[in-house]
This record gives sequence, structure tokens and C-alpha cells, in this order.
Amino acid sequence: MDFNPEILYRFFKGEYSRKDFLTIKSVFEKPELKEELKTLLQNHWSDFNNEPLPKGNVDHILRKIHHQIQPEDNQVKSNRFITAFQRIAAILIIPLILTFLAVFYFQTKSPTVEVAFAEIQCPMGVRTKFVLPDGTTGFLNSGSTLEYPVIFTNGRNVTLKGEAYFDVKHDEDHPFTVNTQNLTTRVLGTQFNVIAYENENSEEIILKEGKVEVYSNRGEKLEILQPNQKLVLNTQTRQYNKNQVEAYQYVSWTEGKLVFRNESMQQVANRLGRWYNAEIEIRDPELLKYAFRATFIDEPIEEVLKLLAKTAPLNYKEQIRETTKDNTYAKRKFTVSLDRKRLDAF
Amino acid sequence: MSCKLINPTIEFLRDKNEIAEKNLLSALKNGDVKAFDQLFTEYGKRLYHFAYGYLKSREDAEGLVQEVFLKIWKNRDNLNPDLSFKAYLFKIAYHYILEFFEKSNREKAYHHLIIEEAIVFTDETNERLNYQMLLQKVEILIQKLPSRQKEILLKRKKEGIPIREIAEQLGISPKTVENHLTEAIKNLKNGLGKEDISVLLFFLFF
Repeated sequence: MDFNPEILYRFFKGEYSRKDFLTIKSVFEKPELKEELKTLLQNHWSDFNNEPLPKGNVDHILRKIHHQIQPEDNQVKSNRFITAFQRIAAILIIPLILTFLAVFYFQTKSPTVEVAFAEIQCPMGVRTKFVLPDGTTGFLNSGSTLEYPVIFTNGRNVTLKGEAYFDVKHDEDHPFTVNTQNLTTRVLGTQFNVIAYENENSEEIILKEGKVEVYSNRGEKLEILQPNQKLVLNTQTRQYNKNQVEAYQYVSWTEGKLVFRNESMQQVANRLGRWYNAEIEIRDPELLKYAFRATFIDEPIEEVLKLLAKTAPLNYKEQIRETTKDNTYAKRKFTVSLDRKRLDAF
Repeated sequence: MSCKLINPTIEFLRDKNEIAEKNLLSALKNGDVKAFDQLFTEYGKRLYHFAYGYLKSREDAEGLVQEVFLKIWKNRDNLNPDLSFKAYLFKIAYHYILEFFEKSNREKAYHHLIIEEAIVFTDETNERLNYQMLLQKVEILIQKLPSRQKEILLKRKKEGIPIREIAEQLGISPKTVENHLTEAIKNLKNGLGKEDISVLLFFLFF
């Protein structure tokens, strides 16, 4: 290969020309040069190991890794913990605990004040505005549930399933926390959006104004978000990331706008399904690679699907509505399939 | 003669380090998180800076370090404590460097397209202009564009949406879209005027 390693070092140091860049790009992209490139990088790596590094640390990366390996790690630990000795100890201690609990239970039979909880359920296809006892306002999106104590005594804690937008009343002495299945978001007074639908494998927090702290459900602090930042947690791999976003796109649903920004076919189908209380089935996996960008205000679902079909090679069809046992109609159902005839046009 | 006296000491130190690392690797193989943390402390930052040099993005370099060490943790059973960890680390990192490099170039391809449109490259600028600084400058200039121009420029160049369709999405005429686009390119061109980019020329070769 007539490739001067000097170019690679210039590129690495950030002092390269456009010509250098184009050379590097072609070397990285040619499979036949892979072995040679590997040798070059390998030599560079061993030289690089003797070079001094700039200040600063990368501990936050280690924290992220720990967050991902911990569930598995805990399992390993708990298996090892149960040694023969501990088993015996456990057997001896169980009656002791039971006795203690029984005594404790009979002694504290006096009535205790229970904290009453209220729940707001937002049906499918509808958005609801809410006001909480502390003056916090917000919106609940289609198919979501918000649970909150009727009196905010010990802190302001609410539990959310689904999507909600909060405009939290400022109160420095009483932090406001939103619990979802996997995350806890802690704030003093801000505007932010939380997405945590149970049947999807991600949870998202988007901050519009102020500052929020995000914790895992095990209480580890994950990130502090600044305005226009989004945290996404993949609930399957437990991997999480912080990105820069335009927050208004994520809160526009509170004004009745349906906004898609580079969202995958699956995300679009899930959101349309919730927004219109319909079921949308994607027939061809090839469609999953398409991403959409669009804004809709007050459009019926047919119109939305018609417009999506213009921007991607897809067809849609409404299924005949089934009637349920009590003679009412079931949810509307649409199937979306790949339009192979129009494939070349995209 | 004195050389012979010094050499064995250096050899001895090297061996000692190797033994320490071997012990760490054996501990990691047995699932010891502390050993994993120590290896990360030893190599994580170095790998980050190595990856950054090639990927030119903090987010990507961090992502790479995360993926590489996660893989090391998951594959700890197959670890051979007798082999060099440095070499093992490289073997895993190399694949991710290629993968991330390709991905980020695909995502940032529009920067190059915009630059090509705004600057006429001559032999001189092609070889003597600091391209990294130019890319950074273009990114800043794009961010500074009026919001409508920026939106249309990104739709057209980043997402590759045809002009007619952008017009439909925004509810304006295709002619207006084109005007915004021309205006945006003109603004970028002005921002990259002759005096401004001459600062970015290398003088090392001359």
C-alpha cells in the first residue's frame, strides 16, 4: 500500500488537510486494506502507550459500565454468599425473627394514619391536563397513569406509567420526584418530559428548563441533565446515554401536535397507536429501517398514514373492525406493508 | 560492566509488573470486579484518548471505551492471563474503531457535502488547509444560521429530503425552499471568506 503512516499521525493529532482526510477515509473503508491498517494501528497503539496523557479522568465511563454489569454481578455474589455456614445461621435466625415480628405486630395495633393516594388515568387516544396539590401542573399523554399522594407530607413523590410532561412548582425544601419502573427523576422546580411506557424497552427523560437529577431504581446517581438534554435508558441492556436534543419537539404533544423527528417505523407505529387508540401492525421487517420526520396537527389517522406512505414505500390498509361480545366495535386496526413496486423511487 | 548491573534490575521490574498484571487478569477471570476496575484505571483513559484521535468525537470515544470494557467483562471466562492485556485490549478495540469510524462518517457526511458546496478547492487548499478546523468552523456557522435556513439546510443535506417534499412539509412553495437554501449556502460562503480560511492554512511544509 502506498500509504504514508505520517498521514495517519497527522490525522490523529488533528492537523490534517482535506487530501489527508480523503486518503484516511478510503483506507478505513477498503476491506482489502484491513490487515495493513490493523498493523499500522497496532504499532501506533504500542507507541501511544509510552506517551504522556492529558489531565482529567474517565471515571464516569466506569460508572456507566458498572451500571450495566451490576445486575449480573449481584447474581454471582448472592450465589456465593449462601455458604453452608450461612445456611445454618439462617435456619437458626428465622424463628427468632418470626417471634420478634409477632411481638412487634401485637404491640403496635394502634391505628396509624395512612397516606391516601390518588390516581389519574388517561385513556387511549386522549391527553389530560392535571394540577397536583402542591401547584405543579402538567399533561398526561394517551394511555398513561399518574399516582400521587393526596397530601404531600414527606416530600413530593409521584409514580408514572407512560408519558407525562411536568411543570414543577419551585420548592427548594421539598424536592419533587417522579418514579418510573427503572428510573427516579429528582427536581426542585423545572419543566421536563418523562416517557416510560411499560411495553416499550426504553425510558426517556427530556429536560426543557431548569435542572434534574436522574437516579436508577437502585438509587445510583446516573446523570444531571441540563436544558435540551435527553437521557435514554435501554431497559433490556440497562445501557444509558445522554444526548443533546431540541426539547420543544418532545413537549409539542401537550399542544396537540404529533411530531416525529427521525423516528423509526416501530416508534412511529407505537406512537400512532397510542395517539389514535388504534392498532398498527407492520407486516414487512424491511420497513423497520425507515425513519420519519413529520409534524401533524389535528389530522385524522388516515391522513397521517397517507402522508407517511408518500415519504416511504409503504401501503396501508384498514382491517374490518371486529365486534366484541357486548356488540361494540373493537379498536381500529391498520396493517402497513412494503410497497415493492415503489421501492426504486426511494 | 556497569550496564550489565543495571539491566537485570530493569528486567526484574518489568517482570514484577507483568506478574502484577497476570494476577489481576486471573482475578478478573474469576469475576473480581476490583481487578476489573484496576485494569480500567490502568488503560481506560489511554484507550479513550487513542479512540478520540481517530473518531474526533467525545461521545463516540466514550461509547467505544464502554463497549470495549463491557466486552472484556463479558468474555472474562475466555481470558488468558499469560498473554499481554495491552494486545488483547487492542484486538477488541480495533473492531470498534472501524465500526465507529464508519458510523460517524456516515452521520457527518453532510458536513463534507456542505463544505464542497461552499468552498472551491484548489491544489493548495486541498493540501494546506487544516481540514479539522474547517469542519469545526462549518459546524459553528451552521448553528449560527437563522433557524429557517438551518432547518431547510439540514433537511436537504443531512436527511436528503427532496426540495419539493420539504416545501410540502413546511407548507411553503418549492421556490421559497430553494431561496432559503441558496441564502444558507451564501451565508456559509461568507463565513468562510478568503481571509477567514487563510488563517487555517498550514505553514509547516513551506
